[in-house]
Amino acid sequence: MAEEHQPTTLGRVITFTSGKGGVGKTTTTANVGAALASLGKSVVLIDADIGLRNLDIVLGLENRIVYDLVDVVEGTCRLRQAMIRDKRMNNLHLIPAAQTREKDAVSPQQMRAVCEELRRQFDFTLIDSPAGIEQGFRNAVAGADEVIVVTNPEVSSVRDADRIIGLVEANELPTPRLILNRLDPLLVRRGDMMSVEDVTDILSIPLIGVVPNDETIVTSTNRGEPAALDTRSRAGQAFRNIAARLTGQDVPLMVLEEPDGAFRRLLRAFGFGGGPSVAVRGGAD
Amino acid sequence: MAERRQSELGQVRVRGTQDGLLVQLPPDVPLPTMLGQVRSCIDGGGEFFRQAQLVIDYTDRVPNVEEIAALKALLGERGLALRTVTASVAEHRELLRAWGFTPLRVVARDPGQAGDGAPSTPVEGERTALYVRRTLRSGAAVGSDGDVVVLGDVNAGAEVLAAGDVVVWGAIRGTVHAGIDGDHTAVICALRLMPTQLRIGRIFARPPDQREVRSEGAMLARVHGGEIVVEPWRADRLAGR
Repeated sequence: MAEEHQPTTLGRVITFTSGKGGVGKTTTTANVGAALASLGKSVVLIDADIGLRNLDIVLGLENRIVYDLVDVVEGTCRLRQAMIRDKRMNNLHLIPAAQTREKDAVSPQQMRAVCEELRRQFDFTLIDSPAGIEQGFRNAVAGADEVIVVTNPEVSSVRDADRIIGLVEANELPTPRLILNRLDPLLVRRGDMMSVEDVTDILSIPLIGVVPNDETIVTSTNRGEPAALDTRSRAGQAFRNIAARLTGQDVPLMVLEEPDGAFRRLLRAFGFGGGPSVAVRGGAD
Repeated sequence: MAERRQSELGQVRVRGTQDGLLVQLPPDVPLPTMLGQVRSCIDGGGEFFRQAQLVIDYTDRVPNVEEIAALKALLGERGLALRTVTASVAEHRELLRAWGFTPLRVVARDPGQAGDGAPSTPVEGERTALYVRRTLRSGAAVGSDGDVVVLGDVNAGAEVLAAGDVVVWGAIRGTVHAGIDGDHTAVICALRLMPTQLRIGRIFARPPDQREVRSEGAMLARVHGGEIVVEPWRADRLAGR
């Protein structure tokens, strides 16, 4: 077995959740994890979506699954045996979900125990929560130190995100932070899409990143190659920025330009054109 | 709801409300006469009384424990149950509580005015308010027998229910129902008003479909002319015209 980088302090357990399905939790978890790993951190990802596993696909590791999270909590295997090492990076691991079982196969208590152990071994444990507010969600946040809520700039997902934030706050976890995923600056400018300010006005939690809508995400998901490892991907850059902020770096929000960025680049060359006015702070607060 | 009539004519009055049948006692009428009046009301009312929740209302009279005992005995003779005894003056309510009765929640009265629900001068007596010092997120619901004050937003998917007023020092994006027991003098205020729905008493209102709801400044919503009217907040709008 390759030797792990043992953190000198306890690692952090972060759950990515949303309420609404399909907003990009899994893609975000995979990409932020990959970005953290490329910064040299030791990272383990847990797919908590029992019965509807996806994290393995997004990382291209679906053919390497032998044991899963349910096997671990049932004692069928040791924790180490269920960890799949990423094919590109030594310091990134995945504990997949079970596909043939359901959400009640794992309890919050069991999740806490797993997270307790992983905190000792990895700098970052990232948990991909299922959609919804029931057992799956409760399992996913049970062992978390912090929660990140992922939402789209769209009324239904913001409504669901608000509900989830309420539930997280009621669980006495620290105030969650927000990732706004799939923002399309052109649509926002036309007034056809909620802006960053519209969303943060309603949700009122600190923003940790804005990820632009990027069609390369579709291909990267299908190929199992996280966009965060592609230097040409704008969404990938946003995920890398989020990872940097999680390690305490103060990274300004990307300027999200329209597809034809030539004119705006010209403007910026002359000192005009700024980014969104929302301040973003990284850090482990 | 301004159909309350004063029992100043020295007559017991009976009024139907959401809380049951209010037996409003006149001031200054000696006990035997008053008992006689109550007896006539009951005997004249028949079945109506038997099925109702009876509440003795000391709003216009000073509560007296022997009187109450006599009234209870009278009701008992007729096989009627007393739900409670109420009053509006704070000290009288305290007396009633000390004697074991739970006064009804105070409703703002509009003395002598026609019932278009214009906000009236607040009546004496305490008003209890539930004070919520956080944003109510989607799925949260808060209710009170009195007023509700929120220091924060009421987000879409959250609900506030109050028998009295609802005051939100923030944005209302969700559903707020004031005056849930039928008090159409209840009001709703917010720093920003972009609700899903507003309700006062039995009247509902929703924002118009065509326009995006934008709130320009602090707003007051109240019942006027049988519908909910939303206008920029000014203190004199509350005091009545």
